[in-house]
Amino acid sequence: MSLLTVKGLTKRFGGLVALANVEFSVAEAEIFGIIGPNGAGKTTLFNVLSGFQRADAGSIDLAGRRIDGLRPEQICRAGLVRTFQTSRVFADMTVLENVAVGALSRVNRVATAIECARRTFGDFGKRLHDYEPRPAETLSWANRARVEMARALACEPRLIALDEPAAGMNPAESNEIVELLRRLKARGISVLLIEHNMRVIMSACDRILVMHHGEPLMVGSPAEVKNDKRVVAAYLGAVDGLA
Amino acid sequence: MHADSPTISTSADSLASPSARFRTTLQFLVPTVLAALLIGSTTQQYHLDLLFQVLLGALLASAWNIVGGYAGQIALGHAGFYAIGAYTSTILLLRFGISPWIGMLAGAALAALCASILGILTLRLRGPFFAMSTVAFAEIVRLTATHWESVTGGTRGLWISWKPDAWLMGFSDRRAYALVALGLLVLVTAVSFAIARSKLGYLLRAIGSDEDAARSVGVRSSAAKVLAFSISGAFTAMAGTLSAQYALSIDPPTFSSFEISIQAALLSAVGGMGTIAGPIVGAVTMVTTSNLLRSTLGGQFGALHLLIYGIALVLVMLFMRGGIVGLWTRVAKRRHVLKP
Amino acid sequence: MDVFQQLFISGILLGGVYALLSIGLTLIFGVIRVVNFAHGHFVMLGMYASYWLWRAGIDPYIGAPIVFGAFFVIGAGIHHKMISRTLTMPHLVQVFVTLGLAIALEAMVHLAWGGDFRFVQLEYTSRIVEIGQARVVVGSLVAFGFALLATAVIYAFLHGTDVGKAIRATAQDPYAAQAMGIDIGRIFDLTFGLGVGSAALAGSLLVPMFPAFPSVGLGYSLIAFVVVVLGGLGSVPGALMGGLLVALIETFTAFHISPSFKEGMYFLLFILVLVLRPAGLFGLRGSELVGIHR
Repeated sequence: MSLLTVKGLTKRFGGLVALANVEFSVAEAEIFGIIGPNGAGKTTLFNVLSGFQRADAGSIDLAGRRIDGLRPEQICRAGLVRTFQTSRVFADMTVLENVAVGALSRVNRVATAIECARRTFGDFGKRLHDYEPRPAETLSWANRARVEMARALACEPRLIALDEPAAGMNPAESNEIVELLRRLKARGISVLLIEHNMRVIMSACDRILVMHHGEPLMVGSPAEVKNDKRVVAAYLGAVDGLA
Repeated sequence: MHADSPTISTSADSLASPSARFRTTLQFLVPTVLAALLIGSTTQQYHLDLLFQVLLGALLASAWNIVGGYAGQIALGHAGFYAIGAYTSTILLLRFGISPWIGMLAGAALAALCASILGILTLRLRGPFFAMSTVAFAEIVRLTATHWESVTGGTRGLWISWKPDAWLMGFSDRRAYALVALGLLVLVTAVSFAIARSKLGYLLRAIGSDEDAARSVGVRSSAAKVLAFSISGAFTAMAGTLSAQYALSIDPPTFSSFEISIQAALLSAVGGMGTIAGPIVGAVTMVTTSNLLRSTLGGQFGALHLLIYGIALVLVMLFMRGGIVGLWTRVAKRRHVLKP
Repeated sequence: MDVFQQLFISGILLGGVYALLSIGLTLIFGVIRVVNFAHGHFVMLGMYASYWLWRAGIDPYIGAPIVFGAFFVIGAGIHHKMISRTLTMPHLVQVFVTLGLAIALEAMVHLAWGGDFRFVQLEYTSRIVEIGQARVVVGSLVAFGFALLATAVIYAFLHGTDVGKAIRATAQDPYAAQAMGIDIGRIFDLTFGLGVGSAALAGSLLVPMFPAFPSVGLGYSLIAFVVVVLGGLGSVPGALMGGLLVALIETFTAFHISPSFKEGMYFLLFILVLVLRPAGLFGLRGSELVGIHR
């Protein structure tokens, strides 16, 4: 029984076809990667999944419930939360307040939300805890990404969709991301992951969807994807596929 | 953009400790007492008028700040709510003898209702298009007041005959009006403070910061914006009622002018949007300045204060977006950092 | 005299000017993604400029190109010095900066020339002419003709010249345009100048028929906003259709309902478009864009 089922998803912008019959499913506690060259439609896919854009055709099923056509805030409450490529934190709110907003999707008292927020900090080492009272805009790029992830996690999603979480991170930091993803998986949370960092993708993901010009090229395990000739031709280039 | 007010912290656990509670109470009490003393000590009508106008401006700006400063929705039609408040209480008084205190609440309720409807229709719009739709709303209110002569008295407006009866909001000592204004201001400020620390406040600030990001983490942004808009409109209407009682006459050009809408937004922006003290600081500086200009330069230069308003708005927005309070905070923090 | 024809023809003629009035706003939005709250105030300034030229003995229609040229330069300068700074800032800064500009402009005019209504009275514009069963004032015919001509020129400029194509390219994708070597800073300046200039030009065409006074700007801004939302943000043909439609609706409601219902009608139109078809008639993007955000 899969958690997320996407069928026949199509999205057009005027003459441009951004998504063409995209199909895949994500199981519970699975880490599912999405890769493809720039312009392959990955972020559009996230926008459609999270309700920011409406598909022209197709269906999206989350835990047996149709979520295509719902508003973003409804989809969050249904259990799917996404992050943005550009780490859209609430710039003038503190780190603590940022994450508390996520918790406020489930609780009503600010004090409770703050407790929940502090609990999510644990996943990110001491960093967020140290930066708790600082305005989010004063943080480094990588820390902002962490704040955004913590905020999404504070919503206690069943599936979290991360848009390039390892962007701009050094190898040590991206390893931390992989560790975090594994911890989420162990807790039963599914992860949908757009990434260009191939090390992260290959080491963390259970299965990977490869997209090209809006079309799904293939879905398979990291090994299968690495060795598939079409994928290599379209995207990976070198045989070992390291970005 | 939203500068954390250096004087009043709005973080959730700031009132946890008794000493923090005491400090905050003091921060409310001291300025209030000082202002009351200031009002009590005025002897000249001119000074009282100025004080009243400053308080009214602070009221307008603080009410506007709830939707404009916290949620970042630039509404430019608050004159519509102001007029609704003034006309509702006055009509109820003149036709049914209802006390303006009750009328004030009725006006607030009506304004909140209008704001809800308007908000539901227009809050999907962002930025300039929302602003323009609020302008259109205020114009409709003005037109209604101008043309519904049987009820509103048309362009000539309505007159309130003054009686020294506190229940009818008529005071022989004019200073009482200023005290009522002060009381209202304390109320609006306290409500703003409570909102800022509440779930609604967090949601509004998130929306004002990045609405889409807020929605992606479950914030029902439309509902929150409509609620903020309604609260903002209600308080603006109450200011309108008080102003009507002070002036003892109302008419469409005076009570629904675009300048009122601009004032509400501008005073808050110049003082510091999204802060508690900002609207008040903005009112004190800008209203006093413009009044001084008007009185020293005379009628021919009546538009000079508007010129100052316009230039101030542009400069503040380009160079010190946190307003006066924001500037103060930055300076204070820098000095704090330099201390050993 | 056939009432319908009369209203229709009057509406169309007015619509031409409304279209010209709004083209600037839609262009500025389409290219720079800025909404100029002071747009109507430049119409007002154009009215005053033509008025003073008329007082100096220059016919407003002859002086119109001068007004356009002058405000083109002024607009480009304003963008270069002021608006360009706001492009990376949150949208509310744009609203406030252009609003502040509007307030300041109105105040300056008031201080300089007082609040009296200024009329440009030309002998030939008030002559009546018959078109079919309708009687129209020559002034409105001239304004319409001029407006159509100006619209056509702008359209030709955008599609026929290299600079025009660069402007359109920038509107479609500023990053790609920059990558192709287009100086988008200069394009933005030019576009803003074009927008402001055409607003002032519309003012020149309006002043022989309508009075100029300092606070007339806001009303024209409101009209332009409704036209642009109706026609679709960033679309020049949309501004034309939108202008005609708004003017027609205005003319018919003024007669059949009441002249003072105008603002209510604008508001209703605004809401209707947003609820039914947020992209407008010719909109380039979907509803996300009416809630503009980058």
